[in-house]
Amino acid sequence: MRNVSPVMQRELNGFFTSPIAYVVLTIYLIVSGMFFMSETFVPGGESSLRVLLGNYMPIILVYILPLLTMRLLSEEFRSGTIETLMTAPVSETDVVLGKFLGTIVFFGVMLASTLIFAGVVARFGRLDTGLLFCNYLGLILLGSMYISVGLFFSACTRNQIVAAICSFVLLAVFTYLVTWLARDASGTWRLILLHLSVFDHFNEFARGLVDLNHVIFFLTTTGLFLFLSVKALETRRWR
Amino acid sequence: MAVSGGQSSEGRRVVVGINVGLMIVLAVALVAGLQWIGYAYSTNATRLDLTSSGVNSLSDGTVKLLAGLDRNVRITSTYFTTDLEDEDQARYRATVDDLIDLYRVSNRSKIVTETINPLQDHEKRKAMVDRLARMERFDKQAESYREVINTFQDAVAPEIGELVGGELARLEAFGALADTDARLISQVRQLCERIQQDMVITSREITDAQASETPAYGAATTIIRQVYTQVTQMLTSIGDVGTQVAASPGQLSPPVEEFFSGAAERYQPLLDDLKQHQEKLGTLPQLELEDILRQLGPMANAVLVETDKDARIVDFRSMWPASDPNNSRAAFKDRRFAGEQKLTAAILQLTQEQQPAVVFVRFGGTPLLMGGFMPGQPPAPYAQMKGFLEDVNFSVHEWDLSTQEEMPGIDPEPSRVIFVVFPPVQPPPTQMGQPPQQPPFTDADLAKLTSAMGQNGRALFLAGYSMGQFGMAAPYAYNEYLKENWGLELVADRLLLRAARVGPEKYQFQQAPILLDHVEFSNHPVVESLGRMRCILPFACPVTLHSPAPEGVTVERLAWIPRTEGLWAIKDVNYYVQQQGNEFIVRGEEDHEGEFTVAAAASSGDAKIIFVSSAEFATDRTALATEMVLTSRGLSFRERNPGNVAWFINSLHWLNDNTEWMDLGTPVDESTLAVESNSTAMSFVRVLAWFIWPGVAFVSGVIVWWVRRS
Repeated sequence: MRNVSPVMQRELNGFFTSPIAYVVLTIYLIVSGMFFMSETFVPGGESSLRVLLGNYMPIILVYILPLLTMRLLSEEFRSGTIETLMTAPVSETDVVLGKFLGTIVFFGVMLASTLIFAGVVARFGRLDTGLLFCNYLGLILLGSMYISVGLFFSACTRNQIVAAICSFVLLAVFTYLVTWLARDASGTWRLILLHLSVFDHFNEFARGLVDLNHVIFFLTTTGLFLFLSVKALETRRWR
Repeated sequence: MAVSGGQSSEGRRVVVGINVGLMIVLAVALVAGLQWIGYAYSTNATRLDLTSSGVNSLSDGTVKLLAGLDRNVRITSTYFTTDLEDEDQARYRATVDDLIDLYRVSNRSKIVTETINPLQDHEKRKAMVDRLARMERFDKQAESYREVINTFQDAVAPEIGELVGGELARLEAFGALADTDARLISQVRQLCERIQQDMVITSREITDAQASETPAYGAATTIIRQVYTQVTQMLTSIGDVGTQVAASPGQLSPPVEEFFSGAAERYQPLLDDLKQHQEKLGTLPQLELEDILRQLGPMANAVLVETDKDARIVDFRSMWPASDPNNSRAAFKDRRFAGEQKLTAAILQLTQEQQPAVVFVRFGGTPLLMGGFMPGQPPAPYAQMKGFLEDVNFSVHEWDLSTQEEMPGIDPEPSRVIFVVFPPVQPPPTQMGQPPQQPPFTDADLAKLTSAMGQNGRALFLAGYSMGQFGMAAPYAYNEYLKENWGLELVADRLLLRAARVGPEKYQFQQAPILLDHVEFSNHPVVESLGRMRCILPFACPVTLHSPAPEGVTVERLAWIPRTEGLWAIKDVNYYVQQQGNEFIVRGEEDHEGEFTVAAAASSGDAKIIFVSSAEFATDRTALATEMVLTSRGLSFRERNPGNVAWFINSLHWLNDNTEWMDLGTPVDESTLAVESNSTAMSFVRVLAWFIWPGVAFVSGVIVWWVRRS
């Protein structure tokens, strides 16, 4: 496990020295700013970021995070640096965890950059800090899950675009399509679809509720995709 | 899985592949298992509401009530879903679904929740209806209706058919008749044939009513009632003709005359039977099941709360009262959500065997609970508050000491009676020589009240400043009683008034100086939670807590107005009225500032009282006043003084020893952004959000690119 840290630092260096990450961050801030001005910062509006963080941020992340994660392992495969990495005294698990944590940290910086909106709301209204904390906690859990999905697809293919598209499709299906299907379903199917709906789990955090059930959902799903990523990386040895 | 040295690479790949596959399956199973455990064991203890207002949590009172349930409760939401629904319907449904889920996790062993889309889930709806129909209370009511229907079908209908058939046979036996005779006979024949046809149609309608998805016994008995009335009228009219014929014989041919003169006698047994059956129809109990099913219509948006034996409906209007009561088509933004209050009230009504009673005690004056029906008649001051009290399972009654010797009987017998005692209304001055319109309040009237209270009485005394004769403060009639028995006294000749200081010894009255809103509360259970809610006290007086209190009495201060500059206890109201036209107001010499107690609770053995020195703090006009505010959903109404309602109801719960039911469905304050759309601040934030902040990220990226390039 001590080998995770060097991989994580390598990944972080890659993010902060890569112009692409800043382009992604700029796009993210522009889109967030637009939604903030149109949906949150309106006269008489609710003095919280609940609408921005709860309703629109998942949509933004479904598009943005696959762009961040598409190159994590695909680039290594394409450029051949994976061989160097695998000959180093690091296991597949170390590699996956290191890349995951590095991406999480960068994602955390992205989220932290939206705290300026919280400052604006606090200036003009009474900001509920408990609700704000809960929103960001939910976003961290949501983002972790999205990143683990992106990492998995990145581990499955050499092509970054394919990895991004696959991530986007899977995330969109389980964030929105399943929620829409659950609305028209009934009985046991409805319960199953609601449980599979990522948005339904995240919605509780958006409301200010930390439910152990939803925390378990995000942590276990993230863990599952990280496990699958490790397995995907391991199977490459056998090809 | 071990790999043997003799396997080929292909074989090793297969083995490894199977190994990986198995591990993936195990991992998925483990994840599914953990998530199932998380879902199955989700309770209130595993949830944390981080919002400052607690909007996602049930109130402590509801949580305690649900935790102590001794029977199963089922809550079914029938908010419909359809592709053509508007945005508001989705919001209504989501809010209600979230709320009933909170109830479910509060007591998973006793509370079951279900969501039925009545437009789609037909099987579930039928199961719900069957469950209701089988409930003992509804089944008993339906049984008496079924009896009536069976009696009609098995006995009365054949009896009518036989009689009418016989009459038609007699009529057929007549040959050619003279004009007058033929006309009469033809009319009788038509009546008889109509009865026959009506009986056939009625039989079919009754069969259809019983065969429908929800047997419409009420509709069937209505049809039967109509038939009985019709047949009675028709036979009676024929009988009347017979009576006339008997009175003037010789006008008709003998066979016809014989037919008519014997008609009344022939019809009498049936008419007697019909009368008996109609009387029985009048004693049928109300068929509550059909009322409930009507309220559970496909698009009614109702919530059904059931135990094994009884059920209650929370209809849409109760759960989502419009801020403007006259606007029945109010949108989502113009309604407030009273879901927890109504659901918990329904559960209370279903699970509490006996109801406590609240008796509003007055001496003279206008009715407190009912009024406003006649043109020019003012609405009763507690008409809406009565509904609030009934929601939390109190039965509400009124007693006028000036006209009623004893407290009105309460049926069924309540578990306890709590008195809300208002100051006696002073009789108006009479002209010389004229008898008083209303006798004054005397010790005998006080004795009536104390006798009804008994040794372990529970009462809430409300009293405040009241203008008496000649512009002086009216004395408070219960002061002696309260002082001697409870150590409390209203300083009735002092009115608490607030003014704003505008200079040294110079003050001005603000809007509504008699409304005091800076009330502080002790940590007594009645008022502990009121600190975060707005409360006002109109026309309040100071209360003196005598020390030492009478023997055996424990007195606790509940609320007080802290010492505030400009808050005075004034003696002479006229002195200030005269100054109203002045630029500044000067405080009277006898008037003083200070900290003033305005409410106290006292107990002695099993007896308890609460005293609040504002007689109007719980009226509909004060406690249920609304104001328009700008919220995230646009302009909407909200309650101006929610603390007054909570204080009143908490007082009654404390007097009823139900402290766990306090603060049911505590209302929530909503904070909004104070910014104007065309302001400089808005423009600056727009530039910051769209350009400056993203620009910082972009410039950072450019710098990084440049450094890498170089």
